[in-house]
Parts: sequence; structure tokens; C-alpha cells
Amino acid sequence: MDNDQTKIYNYIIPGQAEQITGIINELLQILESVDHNISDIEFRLEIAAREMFANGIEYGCKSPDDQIVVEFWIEKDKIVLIVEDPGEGFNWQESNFEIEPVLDERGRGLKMINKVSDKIEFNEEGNLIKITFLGGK
Amino acid sequence: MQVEIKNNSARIISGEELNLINRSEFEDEFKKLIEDGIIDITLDFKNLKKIDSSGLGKVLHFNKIVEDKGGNLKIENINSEYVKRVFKMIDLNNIIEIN
Repeated sequence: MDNDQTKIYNYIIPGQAEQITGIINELLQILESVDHNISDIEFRLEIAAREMFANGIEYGCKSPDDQIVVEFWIEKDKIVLIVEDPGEGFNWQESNFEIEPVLDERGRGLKMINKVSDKIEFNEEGNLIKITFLGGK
Repeated sequence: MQVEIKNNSARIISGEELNLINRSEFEDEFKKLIEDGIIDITLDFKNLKKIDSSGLGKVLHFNKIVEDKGGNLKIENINSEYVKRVFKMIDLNNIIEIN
């Protein structure tokens, strides 16, 4: 009896903004090739991924060798994207993504991520963000 | 990115993306116009395919500056479904005139 093993995609990306388009295209290609049940996901994933990569690179990568780590997987009813940067993180515990953000541009990106994803989580420091898109809705 | 100035109005024609990479260039072009006293500005997005929160932030920032000076900022020629949807998501047409 076959069961689908969820393939986890891992990437290490140099911390330069020019890298963003490439990794987004990669994720969208993977999305196209896998069966899933999640509405409007191409647009939502692109919005969220663009912001997550931009934030990770802009705020988390200070020296030329800095890199961001990306993890991505797709199940039938769930898609997960994780981005971790080597920066110090930020005080997400005191951010409210629903209202006008205090953190200006970083906040605006987070607000957009929050709007398109079903769940958003951070590690303690705030240099790892994990978003989840849920299907069956 | 191109800038066209005619009489006392200007048109900024973006390239394919407005993002983290070129937001400073975008801002520099805008600042030059303001310094020259031009406050009737059109953002021509016929080439624009992708925009992120950096790009959006600049657009909103420019709008505020122009409004504070009694001028007018508007957006024209949106051609990309992605850009249309992003603008719709943030209700941009409630803030800036979009043609």
C-alpha cells in the first residue's frame, strides 16, 4: 500500500535580494507539480514568500556571507514555508499584525504575510518565521 | 525606470519590479521631482509585473508627500494581474487615484 511521503525541500540562499525571484520561481514550480487542495495558493504563496525572503535578507543578513535557510513542504491540505535568517530577530511578541504596524516596512510585510496565510509562527528570537496554508476551506 | 516631465507634471514609468532592490532608485527619482517643485505626478505601471511591501511603502510614502504639498499622485496603466491583486488586497484605490 503506497503512502505519499511528504517531500521536504531545503534551500540555503545567499542573503542578496537578487536571489528572491529565483527561489520564488522554484517554489511555484514545485507547487505546480504537486496535488493539493488549497485555494488560490499561487498568489498567496508568492505574496508571503516575497515578504519573508525580503525581511530575512534585509533585516537578517548583514555581512556578504550571510545566508537564509528555507524549508518548504506540501501536503494535500497543508503547505508550509519556513524562512530562517542569521539576524538577531525582532520583538514579534509585541507586534500586532492586524493594526497599523509600529515597525513600518517590516511591519507592512508581516501584515501582508498575515493576511494571505492561515497561520504564522515565530521562534523565540524572531529570526525564524513559519507560515502555514490550510486546505479544505 | 524612466521619468518624463511635461510642463509642471511628471510621469514615472517603472520597470518590471518595484521592490527591495530598486526602491532607493525609485525614491531618488521622486525626490528630484519634488525638489524641482513638481507635485503633479503619475506613476505609470504599464511595465510593472511584481511589487512587494518595499515598493508599496514607497508609493504610499510618495502619496503622503505629494498630498502634504497640495499636489496629486495617481497611478495608471496597471497591466499585471498580480499587481492588481496586491493593490486590491490593501485597498490602495481608497488611498490613491488609480486609473
